[in-house]
Parts: sequence; structure tokens; C-alpha cells
Amino acid sequence: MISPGTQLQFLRYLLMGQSPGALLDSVEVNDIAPIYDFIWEKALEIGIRIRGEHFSQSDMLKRLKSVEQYKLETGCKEPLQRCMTNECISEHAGCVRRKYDDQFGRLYGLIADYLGIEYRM
Amino acid sequence: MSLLTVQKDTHRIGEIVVAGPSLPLQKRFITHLCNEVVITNNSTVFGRSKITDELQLFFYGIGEKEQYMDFAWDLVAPKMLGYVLVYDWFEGNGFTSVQQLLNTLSRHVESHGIVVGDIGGMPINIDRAVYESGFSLSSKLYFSLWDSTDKTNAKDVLKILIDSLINHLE
Repeated sequence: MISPGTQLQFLRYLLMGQSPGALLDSVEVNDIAPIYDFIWEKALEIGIRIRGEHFSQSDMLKRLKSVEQYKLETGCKEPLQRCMTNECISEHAGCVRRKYDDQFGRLYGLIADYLGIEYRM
Repeated sequence: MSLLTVQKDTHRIGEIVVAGPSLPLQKRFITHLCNEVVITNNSTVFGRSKITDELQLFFYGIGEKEQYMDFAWDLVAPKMLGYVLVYDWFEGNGFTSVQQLLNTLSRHVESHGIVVGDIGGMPINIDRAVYESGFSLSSKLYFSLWDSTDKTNAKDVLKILIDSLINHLE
């Protein structure tokens, strides 16, 4: 389980328009997916609060990279389901980390756009 | 339900502990919510807010790091209504202290709490509607921003904490 201090740090960067890259380097690979789920939930809340009835989750998803696309780019031959659920995390920790690094960057950039603040890499 | 059965001559008190790396911020937060505030000579702040003749909120600003890390959270927590951790939103060291305290509390305390980053009147370019209802970190723990230069803003923080308590009523 991720600590509230870690949750708060990722949320702080999200609201400041700061790339979470340095934070991600410091967390265990097994913690990355729960942190992503937490930040995805906060991103939805922010989207709804800013856009109200004009908010569309599918618009957000369009700005992210699909698992299929990521797998295609990496040339991975494993079943798609394994990638979606990070089943291969013990064998390919680096690959899982890269997948989330990219997705976090896109999500943080998107939320900075929604908030109308500059996104700093 | 206990409020409905309270006797006229009895008082109900809800106690809220306020902590964080800056005593002046604790004092400001408490001052914005209380009509009576006392600063003790051992660097703590006490505030009282009267809701009705029978119901009062007591706020205890327990001082800076040396005080809050040594604070008997395990003894006080079961009786308190909740806690508020205040810090300067723009100050990295203050944030690190709050992170440490928050992680400690999450291991030892079951109470409801809210972490509050003070923007101190500085422009942050984020619409207030984004943060005024807070962000949940768990079902009992919230985060919000607070503008210590706006006296009404502290009430919004208190509302989030009270809402969290109400959501857990049995």
C-alpha cells in the first residue's frame, strides 16, 4: 500500500504542473500502478471540476497511449492481457516502468492544460 | 443522535488538533475559526469556537516539529474529532516535514484528518473550484489548499473535515 505522504507528493506535483519523472525514479516498480490509479482518479476529479458537463473521459483517454500501442512500439510478443495487468512485472520491471513513465508524463501534461498552468519537464 | 439527547446544562466539545512546521500558520488558521484564542508560553495555541450553547469546538495548535513529533498522538487521537496539518504550499522543507508527520499518523492514528497547503495570497493560477472541496487521499484523509489571507477560507477547510466525519456516521 502506498503511503499518504507519497500520494500527497504526486498530487502536489500534479497541481504544480511539475513532471513526476524524478518521483517515479524513487518509488518501487510495484508501487507505480497503485500510484497511477490514484492520480488517474484525481485527474478525473480535476477534469470534472474544471469542465463540468463538458467533461469527457474519452477525450482524456485520447491523449494517453493505449496498452496496444505501447506493446506494438516495444515489439513485445506477450499476450496483451499480461501487459494490461502488469503480470510480467517481475521479468520485465524496466518495461513496466517505461510504460508508466510515459503515461504519467502524458497525464500530468494533460492536467496542466486543464488547469491552465505551464507543464515543466 | 447524542446531540438530540443532550441536556441543557451539559456541554459537548469536539477537539481538533492543528499541527505543522509553522506555529504562526497554526495560529492564523485557529484565529480564523475561533472567537477566543490563547497563545501559551510553551509555543502552543488554543482556540475555542462556540457553535451553540451546548456545542463547542476546541482547537489545539500543538507547535512546531519538536512538539508535534513528541506529541502523545496515541493517547489524544481516540478522543479527538480530527486533525489539521498546515504548511506553506510553496515551501519544500515544510512539505517534507508534513509528509513525515502524515506517514507517522497514518500508522498510529485512526482519526479523520486534512492536510492544508497555504498559498498565502500568492497567485497560483488554479481556479478555486478545483480545490475548494478538497481531494481525498483515503476515506478519512483529505488535502486542500488554503489562503491564509482570506479569513473565510479556513471554514471551507473545516467543512471538508466535518463532511468526512459525517460520511462515516453509522
